[in-house]
Parts: sequence; C-alpha cells; structure tokens
Amino acid sequence: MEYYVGIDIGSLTGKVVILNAENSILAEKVIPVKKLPINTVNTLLEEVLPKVGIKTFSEITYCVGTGYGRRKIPLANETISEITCHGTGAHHLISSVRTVIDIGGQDCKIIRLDAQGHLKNFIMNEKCAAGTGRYLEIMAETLGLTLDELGTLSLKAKNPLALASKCSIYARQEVMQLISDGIKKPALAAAINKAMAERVIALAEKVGLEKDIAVSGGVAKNIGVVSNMERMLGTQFKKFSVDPQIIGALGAALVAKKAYNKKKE
Amino acid sequence: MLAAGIDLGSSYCKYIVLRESEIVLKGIYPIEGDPQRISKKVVNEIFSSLKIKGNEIKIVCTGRNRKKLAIKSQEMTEITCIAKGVYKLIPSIRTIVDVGALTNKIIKINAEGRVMDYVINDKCASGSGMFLELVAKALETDISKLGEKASLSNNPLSISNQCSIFAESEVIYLVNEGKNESDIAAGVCNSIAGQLYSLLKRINMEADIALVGGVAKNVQIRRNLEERLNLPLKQLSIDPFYITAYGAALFATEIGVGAI
Repeated sequence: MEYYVGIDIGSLTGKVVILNAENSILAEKVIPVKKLPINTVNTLLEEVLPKVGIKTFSEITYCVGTGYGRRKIPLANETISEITCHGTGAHHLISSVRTVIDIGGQDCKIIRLDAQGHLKNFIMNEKCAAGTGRYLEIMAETLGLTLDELGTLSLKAKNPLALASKCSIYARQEVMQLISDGIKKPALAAAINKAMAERVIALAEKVGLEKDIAVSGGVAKNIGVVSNMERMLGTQFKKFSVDPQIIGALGAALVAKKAYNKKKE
Repeated sequence: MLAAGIDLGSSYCKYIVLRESEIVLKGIYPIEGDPQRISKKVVNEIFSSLKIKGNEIKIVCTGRNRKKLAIKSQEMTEITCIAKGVYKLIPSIRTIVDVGALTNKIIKINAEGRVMDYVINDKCASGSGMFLELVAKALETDISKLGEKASLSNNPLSISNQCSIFAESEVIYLVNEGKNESDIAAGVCNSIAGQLYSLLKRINMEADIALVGGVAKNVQIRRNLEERLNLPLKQLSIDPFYITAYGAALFATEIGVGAI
C-alpha cells in the first residue's frame, strides 16, 4: 500500500491530505495552528495516520510540505511553494480551471494556469492584512460573529453599505463606530464581505482573470465574499468537490506521488 | 474665564481645562468605539468637578471624532491645535512629529507658529499607536511599559512586517520561539521610529523637532528616532499625550465663542 502525504502549514490553519496510488483521498484534516509549527504537524498526523492504519512514519511512501510553515515539517521528503501546490490541486480536480484565487489566513494569491495545469503567472499580497483571511477574522470578531455567520448573515442585508477604510485596523474602527451608530449586523457583514471581495479582485486584475475561475482556501467557504466576487466579475466560479481549504495539501500529496515515481525510475 | 480643549481622537478622549492659562483640570478616557458616550462623560466631569454651568466655560473640540461631541462647541482641526500647543510651550520648534492611535502626522511650523506644511499617513495603521498597542498586548505588557522594556535590549530584533496585523502575528511567533521579550519590544519600537523617520524625510524638516502623542512617552522610540535624526528631540513640559487638547484649550481662551 502506498501513502502519499501532503502537509500544508498555513498561518492560521494546518491541513493534511493522504492519497493512495489511485489518487483517492484516504484521509484529510484541517486544524487551527498551534503555537509552534511542529506541534501543528504532530497533531495533524496523530489525527489522520490512525484513520488509514499507519502505525509508524516509515509506512509513509513520500511526504511533501508546503505553506508558510513548510520548513518546520521534519517528516517532509521535500518542500514546495504553495503556489505550485494550489495550482496542482486545482487542476487535478477541475482541469478547465485557468485561474485559482487562493485566500489564505495571511495572504492572497492569484494563480494563472495553462491548459496543462502549469503555472503561467501569479500575484500575491502578503504585505497587508486587508484582502486576506485575517481581515475577515478581525471583522467577525468585531461584530461578535463566527466566520460562517459573517458569510451567511451578509445575504440578509437589504441596504448595502460601503466601508471607507481599506486597512484592517481602520476598518475595525469604522465598523465599531457604525455599530454604535445603530447599523445592523447584516448590513455591516455585507459591507465587510464586499470590501474583502473588492480587495481580492483589485489584486487579481493585475495578473488578469481567465476563465474558468475557482476559489480555494478558507475564505472560499464565505458565501458572501464569493458571491460578491462572482457578481463583480459577472461569472460563476467552479466549485471544488472537496473542502476548498485542502487544495494546497492535496496538491502537495499529488506532487509527492509524482516526485516519488520520478525517483523510482 | 475657563477654557476647555477636548481632543476626541479615535482611541482616546483627552481634555484640558485652563483658567488664566493654568491647567486646572485634565483627564483621559478610552473611546471604546463610542465617542458620543465618552464625550458626554467628559463634559459631565468638567461641569461637575469645576461646579460650573454652560455659560462659564468656552470649549474647543478637536480630533478625528470632533463632530461627535455631545454638546455644541467650536471645532478645530488636530493639526492647528497641535501646532498651537507645541508653539506655546517651545517657540523654537519647527517640526512636530505626532503619533496618533491611527495616523501619524508631521507638521512644519514657522517662527510665528503658523502651519507651513504637513504630511499624514492615513492610508494604513502601520507605525501608529494602534500598532504599538497590538504588539504590547501580544507581549502581555502594558503599553506604557513597552518603551522601558525595549530599552533593556542589547540585541534588538528586526521586525519584517509593516502591516500592524501581520507584525502582531510576527511578534506572537517570536514570543513562541522563545526570543527575548526586550529584544522583540526594541525591534517593534525601532520599526515605528523607522516609519516616523521615513515620513519625516517626505517633508523638508527643520530643527527643533518635537515628538508628541501618546507614543512620545516611549523612551525607545524617542531614542531610536533621535539616533536616526542625529538630533535631540525637545522635551515638552506637559504630557505629550495632551498636547492637542492643550492647543484646543488655548484656542478656547482666545476665541470669543459661547460654546453652549
């Protein structure tokens, strides 16, 4: 039995996917990161390895690490950038995808792929929290909502409102003021999701958006942000058949299989 | 006649009451997202502490939230008030560095105290007081103690993120890695001083220079900025956090407006 393991250690969550030789997902897991990356890795493995019947690390055929904390994965046979992993994972699931919008905890990447799934171009924001998952997290906290509620509640908004601030800190201040002015949570949630979508689209337009488009990362689960982006671009996104948060880890596992087979030759 | 300056900022409300240019009352309250409520509290405090009625005091209100003051008053911009306050205390000042909760400003004034030019960083909270507050929280240190803690460092770390939110995560990471907290604090303070220095370079700065705002009390930021400028920063005789309110109060003594 072959086990290809992809581990994606992001800034807010850690993800793992285990594939077999037929590319079937045997196990997957997403957890919030621990204080130290090594503890995130260990917790992930403790969760999934027993599920597939692996008792010792030596039973793992090949392991690829990716993400912000990829250099802290002792088990990894090699590490690869998350750009490649997201591209690989997305192309594997939906071969017609030419643009992947990956919105992570502390960054946002727009990845352009060709018909073979090779990387054509990409752009990344990792300098400013606005337009990343962290922005939504701060805003959800300010409104006293969970991230899920921030997405669903925004659909109930009747009068869309626009936020003046881009910076997460300024926006938090603005939202606190709007709360004390008596603006209701659905309207604020809608304004936040719209601002988030605008930031992502502004970044994406710098590299261009070719169809089909798919969204990966935790924010892909926020219906408010996704529907705003779709409306702004006038197109429907392709939806992944798996949790959009594991695309990077899935890509890492696929890369693991390819790398292992190449080494065998 | 009494004159009050109320600085209704984005994070704190500061006020000063003058009687014949002597400070008779001052106070500071966090805004906590509700400037109206805090301003009401401050106004009540002024009236009850001094046992006065509306027509016995003139009020000038300034700060980002000045329109939210609970009672009618004369409004002035922060820049005018800062210049007024600093010039009154040290007439030789030509350049003022103001670090607010959300925005940093550099103000140039001439020998008459008139504002000649200014630059504001108001696009993002990087290098602002809020940035320092987030980091202080991450280090579990009171913001007022952060400068002292930083000044103990022999080996300041370099903080790579400019974004306050990302810098906060970076600090948490460094703490978890077991890095020395004074070294982290010094890295953060130096980063803020560096951002102030960049802003200063965008204006044709001239000595003497003063640092004002709550952050001015941070010894490490002061010292690091002095090192970068290769110049001493002038020390004000009042708490630099109150300088804007002080300037507003000075205006209140001059302008013949019945505030209420």
